[in-house]
Amino acid sequence: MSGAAPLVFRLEGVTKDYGPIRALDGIDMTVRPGEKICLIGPSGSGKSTLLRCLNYLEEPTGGRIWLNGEPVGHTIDSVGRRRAPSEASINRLRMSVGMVFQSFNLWGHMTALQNIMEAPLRVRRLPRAHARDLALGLLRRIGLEDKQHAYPSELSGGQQQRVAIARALAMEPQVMLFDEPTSSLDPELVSEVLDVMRTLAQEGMTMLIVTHEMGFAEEVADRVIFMDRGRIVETAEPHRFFRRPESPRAAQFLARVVGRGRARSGSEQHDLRATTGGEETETGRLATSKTERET
Amino acid sequence: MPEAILPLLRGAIATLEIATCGTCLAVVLGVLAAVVGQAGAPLRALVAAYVSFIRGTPLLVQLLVIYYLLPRIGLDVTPFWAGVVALGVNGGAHIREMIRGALTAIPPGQTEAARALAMPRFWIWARIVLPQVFVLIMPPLTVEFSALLKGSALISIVGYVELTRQAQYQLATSSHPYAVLVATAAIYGVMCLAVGEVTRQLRRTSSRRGVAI
Amino acid sequence: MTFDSSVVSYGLPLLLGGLVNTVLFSLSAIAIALMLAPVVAVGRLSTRPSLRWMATCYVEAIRNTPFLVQAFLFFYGLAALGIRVDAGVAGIVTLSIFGTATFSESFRGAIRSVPLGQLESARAVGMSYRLALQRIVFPQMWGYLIPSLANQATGIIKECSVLSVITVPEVAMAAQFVIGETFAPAETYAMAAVLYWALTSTVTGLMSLANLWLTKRRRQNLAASLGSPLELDYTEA
Repeated sequence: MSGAAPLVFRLEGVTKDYGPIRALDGIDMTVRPGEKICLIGPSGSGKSTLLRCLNYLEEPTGGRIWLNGEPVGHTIDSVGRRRAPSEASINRLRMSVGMVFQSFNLWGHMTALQNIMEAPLRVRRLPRAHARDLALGLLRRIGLEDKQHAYPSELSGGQQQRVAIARALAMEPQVMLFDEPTSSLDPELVSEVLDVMRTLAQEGMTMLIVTHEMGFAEEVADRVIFMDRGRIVETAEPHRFFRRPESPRAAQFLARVVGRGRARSGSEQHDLRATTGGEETETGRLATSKTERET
Repeated sequence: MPEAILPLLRGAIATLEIATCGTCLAVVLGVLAAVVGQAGAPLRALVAAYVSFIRGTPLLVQLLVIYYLLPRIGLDVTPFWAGVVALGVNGGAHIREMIRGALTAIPPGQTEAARALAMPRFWIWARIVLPQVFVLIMPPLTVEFSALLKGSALISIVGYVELTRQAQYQLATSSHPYAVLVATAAIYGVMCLAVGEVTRQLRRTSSRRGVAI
Repeated sequence: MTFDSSVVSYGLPLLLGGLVNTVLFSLSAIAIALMLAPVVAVGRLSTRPSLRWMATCYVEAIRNTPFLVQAFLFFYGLAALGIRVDAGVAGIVTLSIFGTATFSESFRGAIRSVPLGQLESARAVGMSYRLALQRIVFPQMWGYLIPSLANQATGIIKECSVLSVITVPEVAMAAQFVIGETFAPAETYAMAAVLYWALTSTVTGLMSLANLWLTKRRRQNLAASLGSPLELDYTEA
C-alpha cells in the first residue's frame, strides 16, 4: 500500500435524506487501494446506505464522491448547479465497483454458470467462450465447479452467496462492497462464505464490508469504522477498537454483542440460534447432520 | 340420445376454435396494455380504466356491445369474429393484470444486482425480467384459456354455432333433453379439467426451475 | 358514427328498473351462498373421504362448466321434474348454486392461508379445537377472505346477465325491450354496461371499506410489535 497511489474512494460531506429522515449525516472517508474496511454499528446507523451510495444504488442528497480521483455521480457545473449523472457514467462506476448483497439476489431462472457469465457477456461484450472460461475459472476458485448447471433453488444459502461473489468478481472490479453477506445464512454456512472473503482479502482486493461478524472483522480488517445514527463515530485499527473503544456508543455496542461472540442487530431478537465459538449445542448437532445431507 | 353426440362434438371443436383465437388476441392486447401502461401516468390511467371496465361488466354485455358496435364503424363481421374480439378484449384485461402481477413477483433484488453489475436497462429487461415474466404467466394463461372456453358459450347468443348452440338444436329434437344437457356439461367439464391439469403441470415444472410462483 | 341521445332518456329508467332486479337476485344468491359456502368448504377439507368427494365433485362441476349451461340445466331440469317455477326463482336457484361453489373456494383458501403454526400453538396452550378456530384462525382469515369474496360477488352480479337468456327480467332483458322500441342496440347495451360497472364498483368499494375496518386492529398490532428499526435504542439492556 503506497501512500502515493491514488485513493480508490474519497468521500466529502456525503449526506442522504429520505424525506425528513437523515440516514447519512456528513460522511468524510477515504479508501486506499488494497485496504479492507469493516463497517460496524447498530441497525439504522446508515452502514448499508453508505455502501449503496458508493455504487450509486442510492443517490446521495449532498456531498461529493471521487473514485480514483474522478468525481462520481452528481457534479457541480461551472455555474454551481447540481447536475445528475448520466446512465453511462453510473454504469462506468459500477464496472469498477462490485457488490454482494445480503439476500444474494441470484437470478432464479439461470444456472450458477449463467449467472456468472451474464454480466461479462452483456456488459463487457466478451465472446461467449471467453465468458464461459472466465466463469468456470471463478467457480473453480470458490470450489463449486460441480454445481455449474445448478439453479439457485438447488443450492444452499452459502453456495448461493459464493456464486454471488463470483458473479461480482467476473467483472474484475477494483473494489468489492459486501452488504451483510452472511446475515441471511444459517450459522454452519457462514464460514464457507467467510473463507472465500478471507482468500479474496489475502489476494489484495480492496474491500468494504458491512458485517456483524466481529471475529472476522478483527481478523481481516485494516480499519474498523463504527457508525451510529448516520455518522462515523469512531475509526480505528481493529485490535485497539475491540479491546479499548474510545467512544461511549461504541463501548455500549460492543458490550452488548461481544459477550455473545457474534453481534446481532435489534431485529434479530427472536433469533434462537446458538453462538459460534465452539459450544456444543442443539443447533450445533443439527447443523452437522444438515451439512451431511446437503453434500 | 347417441345421435346427438356427434353434433355436440362438432360444436366442441367450434368452441375450441373460437377460444383459441380469442386467447391469441387476448395475449396481444394484454401485452400491448402492459407495455402502454408503463409509459407515463395518463396512459396508465387509461389502461387502468380499461381493466376496471372489463372486470366490472359482464362478458355477455361486452359481447353484445361489440357485436352491434362493429358494423357501426364499418366492420361487418360474422358472429365468429365478433366473438373473437369480445373474448380478446375481455381476456386482454385479465392478461395485463397477470403481467403486472408477474412483474411484482420478481424479487427487486434481482434487478438491483443487475444494476450493480452495470447491466444496461435493455439487457436487464431482456435477460432478467422478461424471461421470468414469461414463465410466471404460463399457469394463469391456461386458467384464462379455460375461462374463455366457458365464455364462448355466450357467443351462441349472437349466432355462432358452437357447443351450446348445438345443444340447443339437439334439445329441440331429442327425446332425452336432460341427457343432452348433461352431455354438454360433461364435454365442457372434460375440456376445462384437461386445461386445469396442464396448469398443474406447468406450476410444478416452473417451481422446480426455481422461478418464484 | 352517430350517437342517439334520446335513447338514453328513454332507456335509462327501464334499465334502472332491470338493475333493481339484478340487485335483488344477486343479493339473494350472495346471502344464500354466504351461508352454505362455509359448509361446503369444510366438507372439502374434511377427513371423511365420502364428504370430501361429494363436495369436491360439486365444486369442480360448477367451476368447469359455463354458467349458461348450468342455467339451462336447472331451468329444464326443474321443468322435467314437473315443477313449473317463476323464471326469477329459477334464476336465484341457479345463481345460488353457482355462488355457493365459488364462495366455498374463497373460504377454503382463507382457511388454508392461516399458517398451521397458529392453530398448533393455540392447541398447545390448551384451547379446544373450536375455541382455537374461533379466536385465532377465523380473525386472521378476514384479510384474505373479504377481497376474495368481493371478487366472487362481482362474478355473481355479472353472471346475472346470463339469466336474461332464460327470460329472467333483469338489466340485459330490459335492454332487449328498449332495443325493440329504439332500435339502438349499441347504445343500449353500452348503457347497460355502465350500469353494471357502477354496481360492481360500488360493491368492490364497500367490501374494501369493510376489509379495512375489520383488519384495522390487526394492522395496528402488527405495526406496534415490529417497531421501527430507527427507534430501537441500543442503550436498553
